[in-house]
This record gives sequence, C-alpha cells and structure tokens, in this order.
Amino acid sequence: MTRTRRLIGGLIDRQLPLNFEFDGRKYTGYQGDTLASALLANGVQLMGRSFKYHRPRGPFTSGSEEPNAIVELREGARKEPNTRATTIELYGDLIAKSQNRWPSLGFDMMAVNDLFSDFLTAGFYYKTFMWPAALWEKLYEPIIRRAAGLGSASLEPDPDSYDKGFLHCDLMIIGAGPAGLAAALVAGRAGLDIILADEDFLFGGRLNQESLSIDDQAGSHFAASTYEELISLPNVKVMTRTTVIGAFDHGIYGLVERVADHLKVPAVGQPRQRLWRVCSKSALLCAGATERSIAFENNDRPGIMLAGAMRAYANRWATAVGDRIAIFANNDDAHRTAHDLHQFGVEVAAVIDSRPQAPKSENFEVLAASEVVNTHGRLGLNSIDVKTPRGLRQIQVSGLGVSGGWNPNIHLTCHQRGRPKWDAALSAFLPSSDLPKALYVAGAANGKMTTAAAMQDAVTTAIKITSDFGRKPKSLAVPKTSDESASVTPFWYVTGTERGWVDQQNDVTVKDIKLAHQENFRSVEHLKRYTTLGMATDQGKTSNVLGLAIMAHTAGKSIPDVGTTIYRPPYSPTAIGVLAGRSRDMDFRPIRKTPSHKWAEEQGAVFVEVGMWYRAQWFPQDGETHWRQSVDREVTTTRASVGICDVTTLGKIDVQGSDAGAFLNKIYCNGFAKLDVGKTRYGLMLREDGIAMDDGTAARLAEDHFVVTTTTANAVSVYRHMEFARQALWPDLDVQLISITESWAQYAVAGPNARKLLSKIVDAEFDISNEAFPFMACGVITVCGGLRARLFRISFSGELAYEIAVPTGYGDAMMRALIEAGEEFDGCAYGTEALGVMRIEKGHAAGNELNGTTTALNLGMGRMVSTQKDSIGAVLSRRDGLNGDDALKLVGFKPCRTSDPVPAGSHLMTKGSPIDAKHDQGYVTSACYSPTLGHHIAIGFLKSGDQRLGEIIQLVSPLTNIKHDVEVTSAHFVDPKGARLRV
Amino acid sequence: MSNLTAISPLGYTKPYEDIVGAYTISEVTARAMASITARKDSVEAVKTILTKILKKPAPKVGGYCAGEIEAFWIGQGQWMMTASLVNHEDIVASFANKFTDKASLTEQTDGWSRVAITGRDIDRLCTLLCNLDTRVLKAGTASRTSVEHIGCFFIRVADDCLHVIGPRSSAGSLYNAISVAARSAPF
Repeated sequence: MTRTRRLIGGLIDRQLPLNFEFDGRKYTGYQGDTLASALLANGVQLMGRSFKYHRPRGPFTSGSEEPNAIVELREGARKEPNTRATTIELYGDLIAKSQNRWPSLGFDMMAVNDLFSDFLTAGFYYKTFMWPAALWEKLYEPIIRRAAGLGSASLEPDPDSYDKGFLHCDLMIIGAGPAGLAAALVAGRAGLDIILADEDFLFGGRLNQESLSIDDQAGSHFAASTYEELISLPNVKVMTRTTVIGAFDHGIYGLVERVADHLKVPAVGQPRQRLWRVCSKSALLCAGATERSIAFENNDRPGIMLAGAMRAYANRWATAVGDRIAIFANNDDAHRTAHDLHQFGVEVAAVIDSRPQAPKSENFEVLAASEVVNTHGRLGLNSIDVKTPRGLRQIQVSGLGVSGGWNPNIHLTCHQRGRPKWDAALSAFLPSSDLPKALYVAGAANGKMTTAAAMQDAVTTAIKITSDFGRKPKSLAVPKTSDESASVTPFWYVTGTERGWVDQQNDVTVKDIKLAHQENFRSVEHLKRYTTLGMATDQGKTSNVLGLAIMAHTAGKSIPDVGTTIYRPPYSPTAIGVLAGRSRDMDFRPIRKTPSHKWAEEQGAVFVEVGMWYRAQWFPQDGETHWRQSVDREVTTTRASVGICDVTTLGKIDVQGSDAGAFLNKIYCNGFAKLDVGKTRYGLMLREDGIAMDDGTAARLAEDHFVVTTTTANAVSVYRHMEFARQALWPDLDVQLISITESWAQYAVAGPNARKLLSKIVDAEFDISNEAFPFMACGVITVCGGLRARLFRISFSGELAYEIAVPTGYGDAMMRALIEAGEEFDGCAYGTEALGVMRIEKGHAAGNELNGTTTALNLGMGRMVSTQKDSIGAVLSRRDGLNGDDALKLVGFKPCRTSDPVPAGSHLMTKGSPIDAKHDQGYVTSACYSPTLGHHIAIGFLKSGDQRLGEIIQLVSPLTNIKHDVEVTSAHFVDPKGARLRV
Repeated sequence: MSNLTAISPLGYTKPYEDIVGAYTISEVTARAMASITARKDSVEAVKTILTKILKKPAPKVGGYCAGEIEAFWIGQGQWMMTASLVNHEDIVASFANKFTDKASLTEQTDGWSRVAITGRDIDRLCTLLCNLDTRVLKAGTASRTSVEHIGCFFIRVADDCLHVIGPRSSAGSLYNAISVAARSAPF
C-alpha cells in the first residue's frame, strides 16, 4: 500500500489525472507532475541505487542536477537508461523501472558491496587489478565491465527520429527564471530578436517553486503572465523543454529541444528531439543557481534531499517529502523551506543550523550551532542524530532538507575555457571576468542571490545589451518582490565524517577525498579522476564545489588555492541520436546517382559506393551466381565486341578564357598550350611537393575552351586545387573555371564494334571514321536526331573506345539508346569491376597507384614532366630522394603457377632474400583475374622494376599466408603497343 | 528534334510535385540555365550586357532578378542566368553572341535540380534545412547555403515561394531533406 503525500495547491492540473507504472506497480499522478514528484506524492521515496555501493537512494533534487533518482524510462526499443526522474514530465501510461539493482530495488544483492566499503575506496581498481597482469584481460576486465554502468540499453535501433536545425537571433536568453523573464521583457519590448530558452516545461524557474510574491501576486502568476506577453511578441521566440547544452565559438550555442519526450510516442512526422544550433549576436546567461549539500555521516538515505528541492516539491508539485521533516543548513534560505512546509501543515521537527546566530521561528524549533551527525533507516529515513550545544539528540523524521548554500550555474561560461573566480562573500564560484565576446551573465548565475537583486541585475544588463543594438529600451520598473535573506556562513562537512557522501551518484565520500589527498592526488583534476568525483551523468552539479571545499580544508588551503575546475559541454546528458539528427541509415549522407541509375536498377545491377556516388559494379545475368562470372562476361564481351559503361561520375571542369591553355600548362606537368583544337590529351597533375596528384584528360573544344576530366574520387579536390591556383597563384591570367560534372552524362563505348554502334547514335552529318575522328580526337556533335553532345575518342580499357556526353537529363534515354544499338553486336553494359579489370590488363594507373606517395617517375611517366616549362610540382619532382637508381617503377606481375592469385597489398621480395621490411622490394597495388589471359594478374611498384622484366620474385602476404613466385612483366598485359586504340 | 526523352532530376518525364505538410514542393524543369563569368577586366562590360538582356540592372551581391530571363549573383563577376527551356534549349548558343569575348558561358541546365517550395512560413521550414537566416532573404535575393551537406542556391521568389537549386545527382537526397523538414516543420 502506498499513502498519498499530496498537499493543497501546486501547479499541477488535478483535472487531468495520469496513470503510470514504476517497477511494475501502478500509481496515479497529475498533469504537471514529474515522475519524481508523482512518486513522492504516492509515498515512494526509494527510486534508485547508487553506482558502487548500491545504496538505496531517493531524489536529492527537483531538477536536471539530480544524481540519485536515475531510472530506465519506457520499454522496448524506446527504453532509455539513466534518465532523471526529476525531469521526466509525467504522461499517461508512463512506464519506468529502477536500475542498477538485482533482483529488486528493495532487495538488491549487490548492496553487499556496501559491507566491503573499506576495500572499495578511491583508487580501488588501480590498486587491486595491477597484478597478476595475466588476469587483467580474462578476469578483471570482464568483471569490471559487468559491474560498470547503471542502466541497460535496449540494443534495438532507435525508432524515433531527430531533427537538426539552425536559428538566428540578436539575443539569446538562457533560462526563464525571474532574471531571464525580466531581461526578456526589457529586450523583447524594445524589439530585439530574442530567443528565450529554458530546460523546464514551465517558464518561471524558482518563481514556480517559491511562496514569494511579486508585485502582490504569486511568483508563478507573474511567470505565467510574463510568458503570455512574451509569446505575443513576434520578435520573441520562447522555447520550453529546451536545454542550452553548449556555448561555442562565434556566438554559437547548442540547444536540445525535447519535442516529444513528454508524450508516449512522438506525433506522426514529428521528431523526438531537435538539436538547434543558434547563431546569436549576444547571449545572456540567466541559469540561476544550484543548491549544494553538506557532508555528514549517511547523508544519502531516501528522504534526504536539498532543502530548496523539498520546498519546490511542496510549492510547485504539492508534494510533501515526509510527514515529519527537519532542515539542516548553514543559511537563511533553507529556513524558508521549514516555513513553507509548516504553512502546508507538514510537521517541522526542527531546523538544525550550523550558525550560532541562526534566525528564530515561532512555528518550529531552531537548533542553532548544531549539526546532523548521522542518520538512520534502511530504505528510507527514520531518524537523525543531532549534535547540539546541549548534547546529542535523536529526532524521528522521514524527510530531511539539507542546504550548504547555492552555487551560481556558470557552466556555460566555462565552455570556451573561461575559468570561474571564487567569491568569498558568497562562498561560491562566479563567472570569469573574461567572458567570450557578447556573452553576459545576470541574476543568481551572476551571484545575485535574492529575487529582487537577480531581476534588477537582469534588467540592467538587458538595457545595456538593447542599447548596444541601437535600440532604446523602455524602462522596466523592477517588480516588487519579497526581499528574502540570502545570508550564508560556509559549512562544508561535519567534523569526523567518513562516510558522508559528496558525489551521491558515483559514491564519492569525504573519506575518499581525504584518501586522495593522503595519496598525493592534490590537483583538483587529479582528485576528480582518482575519486570519479563529478564524472557521472549529473557531472557533479551538486558535488564539485563541495568536493573542492573538503579538499581545501584537508590541505589547509583556501578553495582558490586548491584550484578551480571548469565545465565542458553538454550541460546535461544528451542523446547521441539528437547529435546525429537525420544522418542515419540511408540518410547518413547525401547520395549521388548517375542518370542511368534507374536503368541500372532495372537490370539488377549491384552498386558500390564511390564517395557519395552509387555506381553499378556489375550487371548479373540469369544463371550467373558469382560476381566473377558477370565481370568476366562483361570484360570478354567488351574486348570481343562492345561494352557500355556509365562514366558520368568522372569530374568534369569547364576551363575557358584566353589564357586557358597557359593555365593548364601550369597545372599539368606535361604540355597543353599547343594542344590543337579538336584534340584530347592525357595529363598528369603533381602536387607542389612533386607527388602525383591526379590524372585525367583535357579536351580542347575551342582555342579558349577546354574540358578537363578528373578521377571520380578527386573531382572536388582537383577543382579546389585549380581554383586556388587561378585565384591565388596566377590571378592575372584570363581563365574561368566551373564544374560541369553534374551537367553532362557521359558513357564509355568500348570495343572493336564501338564505332559501328556509335554510328547508329551519332547524327549522320558527323564523320567519326578513324580518319576523320582519330584516336584522342574530340568534338561537339549531335546525336539521335539533333541532341547536342560531345564526343571524345579516349580509352581506359585499351580498346577502340569513345566517351560520349549528353545533357544529363537525357542520360537515361542515352543509356537505353546505346544498349539498344548494341544489341546488334551482342554488346553489354559493364560496371566498375570490369572497368577495373580492363584498366589493369592495360596497365593504366588509377587511385591505387595515385596513392599520395608516388611520383611520375614511379608511374613510368617521368619523361612527361616537361623541362620546357614550369608547372606545379615539376621542380620538387626532381629531388634526389625521388629519383634514386632504385626508385619504384610501375610494372606488371603474373603468377608462375597460373592458378595462384596475386593479391593487392602483397609485398615483393627478391628471390632468396630474407622476408622482412628491410629487404622489401615493393608492393602490389591493383590485382584481378584476367579473363582475357586466363589467370590472375597485377600491377604494382617494384624497385628498379623497369630493369627487372622477366625476373622471378617472391610475392608475400604474411597477413593472408601467401608466399609464391611471380614473374615481373610489363604493366601492359593487353595490346602493349596500343594498336587496338587506333583502328 | 532529338528522339530522346529527357527526365527530370527526380526521374520523371514530368516535373514531380507533392504536397507535404503545409508546403507544396515541385520540380522546376522548364528553365535552361547557364553560368556567366566575366573575363579578365570585363566585369563592368558584362554587367552592362546582362542589364540589356534582363532589361533590369544586373543583380548585385546576393541579388536575384526575376523575369522572362532571370539571373542571380553567384560570385564576384559571376551570375547564373536562366531562360525558358522551350525558347533557349541551347542557352549558351542563344546568348553567346551577346557576350562575345567578355564572358565565359557554360551550360548548367542539366547540372542542377531546382525545387520550388510554396506555402506560409517558409522561414520556419528553412530553420530545419540550412544555416541561413532566410528571414532576411527577401523576395529578389539569392544566397548560397548547404542542405544536409549538399551545396545549394536559395532564391527568394516571393514571401511564400522559395526556389532551392542543388546538384542534380543529389536531387533525391535534397528532395528527401526538404520533404522531411516540411513534415516536421509545424512547430
């Protein structure tokens, strides 16, 4: 049985009850509840187990800083581990389970760890698992991995989608508490383009959680009416359920909007969450402050929570944490918790204040100069031991509110390495005085710890920002607020405490911090890593400063002298899915399709991704059960008759201008200035350092007009390289570049019947005979009854071949026309595999050979580097180191035993020499089975290879256990003299 | 007349059109397009020629000029010009004599996929598409941006009409990005 702890009032809608389930038990809450508030209202305090000792835990806070009430939310593929019950907005039929326990939350066998706490101290792993080393992999690591982590993932694909987007504004206000709302009113009314974001589903921050009045109305009413005004302003974008997770360079902020986390499932077409990247001209951080704890013995039992959270549960969620409560604090603010709960009728047993001058109350007992020294209870709090000036007292309570003061939420000021500064008066860190440009801080985040001061600070800052934009802000009378006292006297931990929790989620105690100090981990960064302080999902929001203070006290130093720690993004746990957005599965990145893609799909083509392009790899036909059968057929058919291949993906760059020839002369290492109009030339580009960059062809369509082709892979980098050269190296040349890769669909038509086939396509007025249109000719023609086209007589296969280009829109029709025209010759389409086989048979270099380490000399093109002109890379290609007598040379390899493969990646050894790196003679770059020759072949680089033709060498591949003999041959296996090209 | 039939970037014989969420997304295929790049020391001359062709001032930085012949600025001394595909199918041949040797013209008709998005609150849709504040992209302006890593031109034809021009080979991915955003946009 559970008992209700609902109070009157609150910001929940009692007309909308919601049923939900936790650990298999059914409960009822209300619209406006969080899972934590609804469970507390149902009398459930126990919600989780701690990480290491499996100590029973209940909610410690009421917000995103929660370290304890961490649950698994939802079921099935939507199950989300490590979710904070304090931020889960209650919805109908919500299902949550506790985690990190077995077999149940109430009876957790792993709680035995707590009995061995003397062994499981800070550095336990480092000390224990050092020896014997052999056990690490087989024993220690599996055990640690099994024990590690809190919740468990569903291991199913995430069924939800996530959006990513961009927003722009003049001013982004982070946090919609009293300061954020006041600032938004000033800047919004002045017309600034504003984004106001808050992680909560209700604007108002502490205004909704306090009993304070503003302008004679409840704080929550002020928040609601301000919200209404702000959403009516067209220049203000209000974003609830939106956490600013990071502050980045140039005024860019990352926001996660939880679009559908408050629903059972997202609406159709809607994402679960959105990641917004906000480009903001200025930003105002009004993130408020987070209360901190005091460390005392057994301060982690369910029922013990921060005093401000206890007050929030009462005022906002109409929930009492216990029937009889006490408060332990070092400041005035916590007394308000006792006051508010007393007003609700909850019995306040005592306020234990560490200060001798604690304020008195008529309504409850105040024990000044007193401390809570221990607590009792198994799965919840039963009583506390209080040390008073008059002696030790035990007080029966089921709830204890603790407050050690408040820390300004300065996290976002640190994301660009801003280092906080210590304020002794506040006993807290304040934002760095060296903030990123246009980032301002106001309110409690800026150390203004009363509502009136926070709102005044925000108004003043907003007026300044608005004025900086040239706007004239209308004066805003700062609302009258209850001027609560924020007096605090530092008090960090009760003397003599050992097992007093500092970081509740990661089970870091006072004892651990003292041990770290004793073992000389005295830098704050070492302290964090040695003890795991602040490294859990809450990122130490309630523990870091407390840990630092205890460290300072132990070391006998001041807190600033111990050092400060800074915060990294994200501000709160962020789903990886929202960082990925829509970039998953087939939408991981854009796809580029050639114009014949649809036709290829119809043929059952097998595609391969080449960069973002999808290219047909081969076209299986009936009866072909292995890719080699298809590829061998395509090669054989092409060499015997004619084959057609979509080569649209090759980069195409339009080069025009009166200096176009001179420009290409500088880009390519071989000459182009004198290339005749109507001719195409193979060209090799070098990098500045003399290494081969890319190869391709340049066709001269007119005196001042070339079309350059590049490899598919280097289309962008070559264009970028050429554009850099044009703009930066030779800006005086009259040359213009633009990519036309996408504009023209291009097809290779190769094989002895290529011309006959093309004669059926090319309009009759264009003579493509060998005499009129010889090898390496190019021209503008028409095809198929008048469609403009470009024809290039170039060959990658080594056969009589052409490449024909038509406007891309006609690419599909052109492919179909070519295939139909080829039927007469029993022609076929061929894919990239057959293309690769034929180029290896011909000995043409491709990406495997242009691998960023090879030179023109290596490629057998040393003499192409013209000495008659200057070109990029020419001088450095002549370096001694690249021109040694034993330089690698591109040669061919064929197996001595024809059944042996010659796999790419294998290394080459001189017969009889040791097989080691020292004696390495080169390596195989490209290999295939040659259906033309009937055995495997390969090309690759061999030291002095051009002088070793006919030599038998050893081919070795230790990774694949290959070691056999191959013969060094010419790289040109098929038609080495190029006769077929020229017929 | 060629006996070949062209297909649209999305693979249809007629421009594809769909209504997604609050938006109509339709392919625009009836325009021929060419890039115009001024040759050395000819920027002013090209502007003058372009002004005569457009019968309006040549677009300045970020500008777009609508009309029977339309143009938008794409870079220093560079414009894209479009014209009716029916009347100027070979657009470079149609206009080359007007520019003589003052500019380099390159046919771009089939290099791009042009999609018209119409509907209210297009700027909200655009927040999910690109890092461009389209609220300042008023009718008569154009800008470069990228959508899901796809480089695009955005042309603001009217308050309720935006043309997105992206590379043809990625037309499917671009359309998918726009339609997904359109479905997700009502927020």
